[in-house]
Parts: sequence; structure tokens; C-alpha cells
Amino acid sequence: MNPVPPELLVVEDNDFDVRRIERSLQKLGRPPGFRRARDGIEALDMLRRAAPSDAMAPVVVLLDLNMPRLGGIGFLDELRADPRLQATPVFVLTTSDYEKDVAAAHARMICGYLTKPRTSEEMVRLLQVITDFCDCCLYPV
Amino acid sequence: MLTMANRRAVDYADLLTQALREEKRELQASNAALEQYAYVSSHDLQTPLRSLRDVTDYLTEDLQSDHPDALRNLKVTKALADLYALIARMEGLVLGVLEFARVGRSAGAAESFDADAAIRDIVASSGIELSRIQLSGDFPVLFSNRLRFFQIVTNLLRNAAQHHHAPQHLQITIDGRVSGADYTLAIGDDGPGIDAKFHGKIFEMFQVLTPGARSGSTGIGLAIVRRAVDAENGTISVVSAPGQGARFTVVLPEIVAPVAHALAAE
Repeated sequence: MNPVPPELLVVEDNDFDVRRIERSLQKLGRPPGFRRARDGIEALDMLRRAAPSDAMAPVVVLLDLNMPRLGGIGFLDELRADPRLQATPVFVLTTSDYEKDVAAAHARMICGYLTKPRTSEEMVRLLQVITDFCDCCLYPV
Repeated sequence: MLTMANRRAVDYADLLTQALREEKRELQASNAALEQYAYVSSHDLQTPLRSLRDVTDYLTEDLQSDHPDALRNLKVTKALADLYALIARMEGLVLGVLEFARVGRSAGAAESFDADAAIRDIVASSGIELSRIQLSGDFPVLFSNRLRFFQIVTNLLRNAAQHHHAPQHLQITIDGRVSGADYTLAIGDDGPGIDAKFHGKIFEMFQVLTPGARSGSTGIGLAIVRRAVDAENGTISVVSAPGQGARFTVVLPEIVAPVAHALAAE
């Protein structure tokens, strides 16, 4: 079990998809709080500010791929090239089931590639799986 | 030695060949662009559609918790049910376009697979009871694009099931025949049948013969079949008349794996 439960950083440009995550966490009785960035650039800024020293903030990223300015794959490139952030665990959560996206994301060391489910109920189940999984994992502090 | 006239004829032929080649290249490029467009747009269409479903879910939940009376109002519940039906229909259309675009995109490598196992898998995932389906003939090992084979069979089965006038009596026959390296698959049903004057039209995109959203049909299924068959350089034909069911025959050339081919010939 995690001594310090990791914080969730949702990188997602679509407000409706963010609301979906909020409502799902609520239904799961999880603390509804998480941080949110609207694209890759905002996410990198937030992560870099949170990790001013050599220490990594314990954070799990839920990453959309198709976003303005800097998309998910570009974000992963920068993240893995940054010595302080490179170990950050990332789950991809996207609409795309395009083989090339799946391959590109996995080549950048993600924890899992998930497609956004069709219904809100399925989303609750998926978030249950992700949060339960994260509870079982140890992450760099 | 070539005479002047001969040489000119050869030059002219070369010119024609080159023009044809260019035309083909342009056609391929525009096909690829169209496929890419259909793929991207159907993905983009999915996003607001998913949110539309979410918002409708959340509206229902919030009504339930904050205004339970509203959900006892028939007008409200009817409107919500209509919304869900429309969303489901739109989802069917968007996924259909996506699948259609994918038929061309997945030029994927050919692989060998067992036709019998593949068809059983397809039936299992189609939601049609196995008892409604009668298999006959040859189901050899095929060497082909598995996804396309899946799309052809799935959509023909779905077509038979969706348009049936009495689903509780649905009977489907699947007959496989090996002829040399060619494989012929005939899928027959005891549905309402199709008037001969529509036989050319049913393979076009968004063509449905029954008005409205009755069977949940999107009019994309047979277009996908046609496209997948074309991609395999095959042919598809239909024999049907009103009241007499329909029988679709697909011929897929050069896909019977050599070993099975030899065995069938013995």
C-alpha cells in the first residue's frame, strides 16, 4: 500500500470528459479532488512546478492524446526526456484505438492504454479498475 | 528494326501507360485521403456524442435525486427514452462509418486462420444463437486478411438478423465451398427477401429499404461487405425475392491455404 497516495493529474482538453471523471470518482466514493491540465504544455508546467528539487511529486497522470498545442505523444516525449519527471506513471485515456497511437504510446513507457468507454457507467467501472490498481502499486516519491 | 511508324506507336503506348499509371496513383491518393477523412471525422464525431450520452445520464441521475417527481411524468420519461434511442442510432452510424473507413485502411498482412473456428467466433460475437445457424460444406484453413473476413461474415449475419420480420423464427444457412484456391461462402436467410429492383442499391452506403430506424439498421453493413470483398478482389451477388429470403454469395479468390487446397482436391 502507498504511504503517500499519489495525486491524480488529468490531462484533458474536453470539459465534458473531465466532468465524467469527477462524477465517476464521486460515485466510487473517492475524494473528488484531482488536478487538471488542458494540454501537454500546461501539464509539463504543473509537473515541473511541483517537482522543483530532485524529488518527484507522487503523481499518476491520466493522459488524453488528441489535444491542442501539445498532444499526448509529444507530452510523453518531453516527460521521458526530463530527468526529474521521466519516471512518472502515465495511463493513456483516449478516444483513439488507432494501432499507431497504441504503439506510439507504449513505446513511451506508459502503464496502460485505455480507450474512453461509450457510457458513463462503463467509465465508473474503468476508473474503479484504475484507482484500485494504483492503490496496489508503489510509486517513486 | 523498328520502322518510324512502329516506333511512334510504341512511344504513344508508353505515353498512355504513363498517363494511366498517374491516374491510378491519383485515384489511390484520393481514396486514401477519403478514408483518412472518414476515419478522423468519425473519431471526432464520437467525442460530442459520448458527452451527449453522459449529459443525458447525469440529467437522469440528477432528476432522480433532486426532482424524483419529474421522472414520474410520462412526457419527461418519453423524452429521455427518445434521446437515448437517438443517441444509440447516431452511435451506430458513427461506428459504421468508422468501420467502413477501416476496411480500406487495414491493408493488414494476410495470415492463415481456420474458417470454421473464425465463423464460430463471429457467430458467438454476433449475439445470434448458434442453433439458428446451419453450417454446411467446407471450412478450410484460409490465408487472407482476417479482419476483412470478419467484417464480411459479421455484417452479412447482422444483415440477416436485423431485417428479419420474425426474429424468433430466424434461420440462417452458411455454406462454404472450395474450388481450387477460391473460396465461396453463401449466407442465406429466411427473412422478408429483397425485391430485385433494389439488388443494386443495397450495397450502397446508407441505403435501408425499411423506413425509419426500425431494426436499428444503419445502411452501412452491406457497404462494408462490398468494400471488404472488393479489397479481396472478390465478388458478391444476391439471390432474393420478396417473401423468399435472401442468399448472398461471396467469392474470395486465391485465399484457400495451399495445404487445405491440396486436401480438398484429393
